[in-house]
Amino acid sequence: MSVLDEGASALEIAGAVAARRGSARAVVAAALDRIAKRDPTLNCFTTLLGDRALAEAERIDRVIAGGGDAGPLAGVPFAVKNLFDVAGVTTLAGSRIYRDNPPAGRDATAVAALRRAGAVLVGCANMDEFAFGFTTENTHYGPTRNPHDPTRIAGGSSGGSAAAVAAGLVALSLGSDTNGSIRVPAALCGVFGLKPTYGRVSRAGVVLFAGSLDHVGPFARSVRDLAVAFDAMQGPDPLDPVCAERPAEPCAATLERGIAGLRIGIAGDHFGELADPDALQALERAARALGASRRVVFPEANRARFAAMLITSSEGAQAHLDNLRRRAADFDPRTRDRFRAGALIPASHYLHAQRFRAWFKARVREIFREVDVVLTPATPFPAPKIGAPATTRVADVEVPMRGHLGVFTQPWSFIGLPALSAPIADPGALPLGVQLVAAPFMEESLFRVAARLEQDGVVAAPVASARP
Amino acid sequence: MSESDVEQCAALVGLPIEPESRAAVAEILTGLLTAARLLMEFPLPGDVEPAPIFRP
Repeated sequence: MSVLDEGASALEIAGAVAARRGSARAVVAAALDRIAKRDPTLNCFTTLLGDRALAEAERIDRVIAGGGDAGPLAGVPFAVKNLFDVAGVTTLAGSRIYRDNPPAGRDATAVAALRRAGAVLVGCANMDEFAFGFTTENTHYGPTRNPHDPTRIAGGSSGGSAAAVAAGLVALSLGSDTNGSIRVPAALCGVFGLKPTYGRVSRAGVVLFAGSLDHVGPFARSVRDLAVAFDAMQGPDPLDPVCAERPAEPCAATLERGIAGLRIGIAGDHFGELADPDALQALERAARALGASRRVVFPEANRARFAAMLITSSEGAQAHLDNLRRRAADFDPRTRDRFRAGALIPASHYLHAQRFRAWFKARVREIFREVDVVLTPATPFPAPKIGAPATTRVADVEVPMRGHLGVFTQPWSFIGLPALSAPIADPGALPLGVQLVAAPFMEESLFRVAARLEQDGVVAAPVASARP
Repeated sequence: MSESDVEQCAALVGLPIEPESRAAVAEILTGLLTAARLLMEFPLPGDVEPAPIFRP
């Protein structure tokens, strides 16, 4: 495969660019061509940085021509959700209101880290306004369309980032995840997505949604690409007050270790209910391949979800209260009244949710003494149609179409656990994901399991090709 | 949760909500308060403190 092809992995590109078998400029120009062809349909990008990206690629080529090391991601085109600060670009966070803000003065820490590793930023990606949604049906900027079926959502809130990788427009992207906003679009678009442990990757320079639940992480089409991107970003950062002081623990070098010694379970009860049979079958397929049969029950997972909803709504409303007072008409109608309702939640409810969080965290921590990685479906069903009705039926129960997409992701982000969504291979008409979850700071275990599944052909992220 | 309840709660936090949006806000808030009720029915030990610190 040529590194100019849509399916080239980040590491294939970086290897070729470093060895001067291809130029970063040509790789980035090819990515910009693909974006020009497909993005008018898919609507992944809200800002393109073509000239800047080409200039950056030329700089990388010069470094390599001069015998220098341009980094492990040299010349790899990437995109970021438009809530990451990019120097010289106004950070939109999916909103109309922030269009009036001045351009960011510096890159977000995570963006700077990928650029230091040699990756080339080609643009900023669409999202739900202020990250409050699972669909990327953004009224201001239009919906992002799923590359596997453009009549369907890409998932959200990091939908543009996931779809750009799924369509082969870029090899890597960044998103944020408060309740599932990396894992849900990764599953619906058929790519890999990692929500690291809370505090593992700096959120400095990222517009927060609900600060006590917000994480940032990468999307990719291979486990190794995902690991290299994560490794480039993880580690302490004094600019983010919640970033852990724990040193980076690189994962890419551990992928060959296999799964020997890892205790792998299947999350039961809540995580096996209210899902389409296809989603449960995808999970079983992954479990069989890993020889995992032990059912692990996490008590009160549904209440954990309720608590996450209350905390998210309260913190999100607090973050935007001033604009809700002054500029309510400029909010996306899809988020405005949800933010307003969040502003009216009594403090006693919010604090009870935080106390429940401490209780749930302690219970789950005990369970993870007996198991290393737990499998769940990533989403309860594949991508719904854009503009689908507000509710749907799952297992004969009526559920909210959009909110229910996070039913299996919310309990984990609620307590900061690392979780990786991996796309099941040959899922049928539409992608589905399996979610891997581990104890805090044990991303390595997730990567080792994901690598085994990929090696065995159980998970895979081929480019979603354009339909005729 | 009625539209009038929304109006009064919003006044407490100084958040103007135009009359035509109050029904929608009331519906969303009703859902959140239902979730809160189900959450608060669960008996938490008295010594559980909220502390967003995560350790392996």
